[in-house]
Amino acid sequence: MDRTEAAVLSERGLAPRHVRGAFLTKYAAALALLAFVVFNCLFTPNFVAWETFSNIFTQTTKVALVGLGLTLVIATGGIDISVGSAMGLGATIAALSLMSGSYAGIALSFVVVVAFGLLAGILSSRFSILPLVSTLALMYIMRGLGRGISGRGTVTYNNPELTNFFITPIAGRFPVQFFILLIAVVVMYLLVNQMKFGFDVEAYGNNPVAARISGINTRRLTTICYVISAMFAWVAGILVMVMVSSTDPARVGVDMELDAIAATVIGGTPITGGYPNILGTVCGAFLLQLIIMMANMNNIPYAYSLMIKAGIILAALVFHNLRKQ
Amino acid sequence: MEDNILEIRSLTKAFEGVMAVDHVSFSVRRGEVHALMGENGAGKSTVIKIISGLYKADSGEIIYDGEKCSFANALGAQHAGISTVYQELNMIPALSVSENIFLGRYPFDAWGIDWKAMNAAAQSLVSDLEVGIDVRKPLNEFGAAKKQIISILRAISLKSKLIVMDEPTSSLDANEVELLFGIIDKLKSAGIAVIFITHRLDEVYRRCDRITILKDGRNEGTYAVNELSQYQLLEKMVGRKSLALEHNRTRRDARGEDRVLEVRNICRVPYVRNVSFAIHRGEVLGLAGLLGSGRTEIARIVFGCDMPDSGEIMVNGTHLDLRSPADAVSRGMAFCTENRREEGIFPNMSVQNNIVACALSKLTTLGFINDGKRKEVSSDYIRKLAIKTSSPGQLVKKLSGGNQQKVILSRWLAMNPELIILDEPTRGIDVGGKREIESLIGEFSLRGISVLFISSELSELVRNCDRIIVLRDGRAVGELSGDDINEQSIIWMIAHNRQADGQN
Repeated sequence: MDRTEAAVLSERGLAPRHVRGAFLTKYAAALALLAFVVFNCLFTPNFVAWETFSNIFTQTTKVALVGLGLTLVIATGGIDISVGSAMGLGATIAALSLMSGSYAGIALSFVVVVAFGLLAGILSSRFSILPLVSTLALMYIMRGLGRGISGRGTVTYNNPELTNFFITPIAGRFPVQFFILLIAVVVMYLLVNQMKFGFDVEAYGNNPVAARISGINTRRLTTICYVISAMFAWVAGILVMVMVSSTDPARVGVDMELDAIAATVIGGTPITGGYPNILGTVCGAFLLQLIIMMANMNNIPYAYSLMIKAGIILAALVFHNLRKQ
Repeated sequence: MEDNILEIRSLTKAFEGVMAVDHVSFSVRRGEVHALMGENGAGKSTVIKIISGLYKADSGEIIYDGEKCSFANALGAQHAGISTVYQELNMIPALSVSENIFLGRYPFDAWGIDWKAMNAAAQSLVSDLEVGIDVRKPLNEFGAAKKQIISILRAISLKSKLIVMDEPTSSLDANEVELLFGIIDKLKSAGIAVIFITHRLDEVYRRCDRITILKDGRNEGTYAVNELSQYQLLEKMVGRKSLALEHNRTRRDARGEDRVLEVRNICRVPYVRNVSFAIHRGEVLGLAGLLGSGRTEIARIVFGCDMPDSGEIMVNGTHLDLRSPADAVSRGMAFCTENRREEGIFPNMSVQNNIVACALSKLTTLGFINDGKRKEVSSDYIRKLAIKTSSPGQLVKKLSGGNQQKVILSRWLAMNPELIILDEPTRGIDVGGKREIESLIGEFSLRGISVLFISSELSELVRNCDRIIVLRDGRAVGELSGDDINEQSIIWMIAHNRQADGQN
């Protein structure tokens, strides 16, 4: 497009084509989410109720949190499928510690999960192992570790103060998850859109060779992304644990990596690397949860809601690919 | 009428309006080794791809074995008897030698693939050429030279009458080159013609019968090797002046200034052998030499992209071990690489963000990017370098090649470098863009920025450099400065320094 075309468009109050295109790419998931919400408000009985919204928030937070971390990894062109197991391992260590009446284990669980994130990062950045494979191995290791150290299956503890803090809505209405997610989104949004770190991630995802030649310490950069992803998985695991005062090491976080990948893809972060679309991932997570809720409330069998989910993922991929051209 | 296996008449091919091959004609005789010579972008690979059926020519004729033909794809050419041995081999590493030779043409018996017959056939091909290869071993157990030979074996098994070899020797050492030449001799005596592409002049003069020279997509003629001196060949490849650019910056003698960079005896065999030089503050130092002479490899070593086998690098008088480009960047070095697309631009990011990518740490406080400064810096460079973009927010991949190059130059200038390495900065850029970039080089020098300038175009080096190091086959073979700088001297130096060739 030349200058004159841009001038003509701005006279008519229109943004140049590339600006409009970028807007669509960035907010497609948000628009789709909005459309779904409107649709449900109109057609799903009892949808417009505070309980529904608070329920959606409580349910979505863990996927959204894991997705936020994973978005960074995917933006570098990598993948981390060990995040679900990381949730399980963190929650198991923390629950074991709480069972013996100590909070110290929560810190330990954080250290362990982050150490595995560091390992995932080093394996892919330093040893150039395909992250799909290295994190597959870590997925089994962490799941095995969690089940091994629990010894007896579900670990249950009794800590009413902790539980009450998380299940009591703030100001009588807002679930605690809402604030946790809000803080996480704000932090990640700033990190990606306002800070050098996010800039470097996007640059690396665009062109790893050019990023290296431009003087970016690419190994450190990608490793940090895996570490941040592990941190978010840890938070999600702890959240799951405190809601039920127990951890089932065999179940917590199972399949979570798949939902998180789906949320990221729907959100518009290119799976081959590029701009980490934080808002997109969050909207993607909500969209996925909304489909399940919608199916539930309309008595649609779960099997169908899975297919709708699949349809949304495919539609997202087709849409984002078309936009690229 | 000569006995031609291949005749090409007025072949033309354009990519997005740019003429890659412009009315090229030449012929290859049966059983001759025919060299195709030319620098980057001369159109060699396009011509080969047309001959081997990968591209379709826009116009022109290919007459192969007396018949006019147009191959629909590589398979068509292969069936007709034209095989190509590529630089990056198009074979499957995990399969055995015989499987690779007969890929897609396995012999069958009642039980499936007839391995015995296949291995026997492969073995007889190997014995014919008298090379020691166990055909049952997987391909990846062999070195580069043997792989080339196996690829040639496949061509022979296809009953090829013409084999195209695209830089077969570029990654071979001297002994392996001899081995390959032995094979080529045998092909020759069997009446098989070879189109041979290389950047090593001695190989051309030792093994080839005739040379066709391409420059900027055009034919510069076909000559018998004994009719054309190395000097004449080089002049035709790189010499000719582009008339549109007559400006000449005033040369300066910066040798009294501080040494910004000094390189001592760096080696990276087989690309760079024992090269030493120094760049002084504000000096424009040129590296002249053919493609494959080690000029880009030297730049990559200096910038920390590749590690040297041995040698020393000093920046501002202190010895440095550069482990990555990040080290070089933090020492004030900048590197504008020859591959804009692969190593330069961030395609899906805006022009603005592409410009500030290297200067970002200067535009941030506590990790946060100062958006005002970012806009200021980027629009400053868009104006100064006259980058044509509809807005700073435009994606850089939508810009023309010349403007992308200016974006990358801006990126490095914005970080205030002491030394900037320019590797083919004007490649694929129109005359106006070239002039702009050349005048920038003069400005760098005035501002005290040293420039290491690499170019295939001698006239460009002659116009802009204060001093020129001449390279040949990874060695520095001469140095020119001041009034001694001219195209003829450079060509003479490249052509007359072959004492070291063929040795390791």
